[in-house]
Amino acid sequence: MRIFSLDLYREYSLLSSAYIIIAMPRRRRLRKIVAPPGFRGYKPYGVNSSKNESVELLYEEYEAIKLADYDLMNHLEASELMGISRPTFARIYESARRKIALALVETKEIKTTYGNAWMDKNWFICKDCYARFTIPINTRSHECPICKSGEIETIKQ
Amino acid sequence: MSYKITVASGKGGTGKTTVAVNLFHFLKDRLNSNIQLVDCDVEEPNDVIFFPNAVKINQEKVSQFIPEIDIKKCTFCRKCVEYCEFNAIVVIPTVSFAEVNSSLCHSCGACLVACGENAISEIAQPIGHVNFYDINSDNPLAEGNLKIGSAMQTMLIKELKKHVSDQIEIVIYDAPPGTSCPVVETIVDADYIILVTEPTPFGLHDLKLMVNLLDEVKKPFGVIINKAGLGNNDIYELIEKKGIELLGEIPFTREYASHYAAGNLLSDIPEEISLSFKEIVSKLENRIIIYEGNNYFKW
Amino acid sequence: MKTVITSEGENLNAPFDKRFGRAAWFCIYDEGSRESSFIKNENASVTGGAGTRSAEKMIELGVTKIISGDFGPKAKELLEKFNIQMVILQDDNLKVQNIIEKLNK
Repeated sequence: MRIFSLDLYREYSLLSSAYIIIAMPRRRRLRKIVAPPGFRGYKPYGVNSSKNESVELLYEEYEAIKLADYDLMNHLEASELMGISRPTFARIYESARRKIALALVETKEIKTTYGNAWMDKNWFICKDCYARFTIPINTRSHECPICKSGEIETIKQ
Repeated sequence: MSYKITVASGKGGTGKTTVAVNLFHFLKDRLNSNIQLVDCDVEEPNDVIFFPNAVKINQEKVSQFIPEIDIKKCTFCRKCVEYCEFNAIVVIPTVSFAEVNSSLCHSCGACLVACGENAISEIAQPIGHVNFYDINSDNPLAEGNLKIGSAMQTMLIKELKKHVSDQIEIVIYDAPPGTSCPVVETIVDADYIILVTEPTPFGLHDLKLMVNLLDEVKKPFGVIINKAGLGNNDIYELIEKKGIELLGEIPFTREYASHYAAGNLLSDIPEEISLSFKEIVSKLENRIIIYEGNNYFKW
Repeated sequence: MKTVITSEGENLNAPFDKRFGRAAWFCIYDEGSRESSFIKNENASVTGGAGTRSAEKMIELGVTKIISGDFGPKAKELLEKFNIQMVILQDDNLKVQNIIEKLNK
């Protein structure tokens, strides 16, 4: 079972809901990803600068890089797998590559964040009481349904 | 009426296909009769691999009819739910929801009878194909090939059997492994069943399951021990204790196994193997003659 | 907010049933009024489709959260469609009462 952090996701969802109230943008379609990245981030080493800057790589951007450059799929196949259009896939892929290039050239850390992705099946685990649960789309709360703890992580079953 | 022989086994990998293909070959040689091989292992039909010159001559699509509920006509009376023996229909009046779960549906048609509103219609959903191959014989090799993901093995085997003509004298069914519904379907109208097993604890265990099944359906059967020389003697004890007919033994040889793996089942058959099969065939011949005689007198 | 806890018996001291479709009883607990009631699972011993039938029952009852030991694929699909929260607890030796206490904390 692979477990990864949801902290950043929660921050993101707070930000984005605030944004909706102000500007009401077009609803972003969720991008389906098969598995989350197996790391929380990458850090350059052998660098003098102590600047603590980082780029945020979204899960869907990681997935796009994986499908196109690791699984060697063409953009059409990859977009179908992620449930998005080919041009959208191309945009996400382009953004992912630029972020990675930026991190390499400017020696920045890469941090992975949840973005607009959703797992094939959305299951969560409570870090306090180990209950596993789903969060239906119509519920706002992101706390453990048993012990009300906010310390929850997504799991990939 | 044809004489139907089913080659089955509880355990997989005991040599059903080896036996079925060889029996077809040696029976045809010996009796010179009108004979057909039918591959009922619809999940992985591989008899055809052993006929290198086989050419596909015909293919027929087999479909299952799955009911579909028209929400506009449905009154959510739940009568179809009550009729459905397989709990394949979900109707929730409070939220106006009605749906058929195709993976549970057995296409029995009861819900169509139940519905007084004409809200249920059937749509064809493909479950696989029946294929015919020319193998330089009087009759083509027939096989069922199940669509990946479908659970309708039994239905496809039923359809496959419908495609076998009454005029054929001897039919050999190559059954799927195990003792579940598809196997029962392959056995149920056979005149004789050949159980292929191996002298290992696994072979013994699964042979017992198979013997119990055949006792239940009351079918005559005999056992062929394949890979004889491996394992232990427990299987012989069982055969003796139960008074089961031992049709023959096929010795285990490494060369024959690699021969098989290369797909060359019917060319350069080693002497000892071909002797085993000839002996089995002569035993079967007696049964077939008695059967034909009986049927002749009934006429 | 109606919560269902799968139960092996008809009272709060009964062990928590780890099966969903084939659970013996369903404890219906109201987190607002803290009242609980029990209904028997009529589909516990059907040959096939127990998960589907039980999920159907949950939707009919207007349940919003189900606490059980596991959910089968067909039940999951239906419950997801109707936005019912599924919660899986894997502790052995839990009683229905213990789960309710946890909810009330």
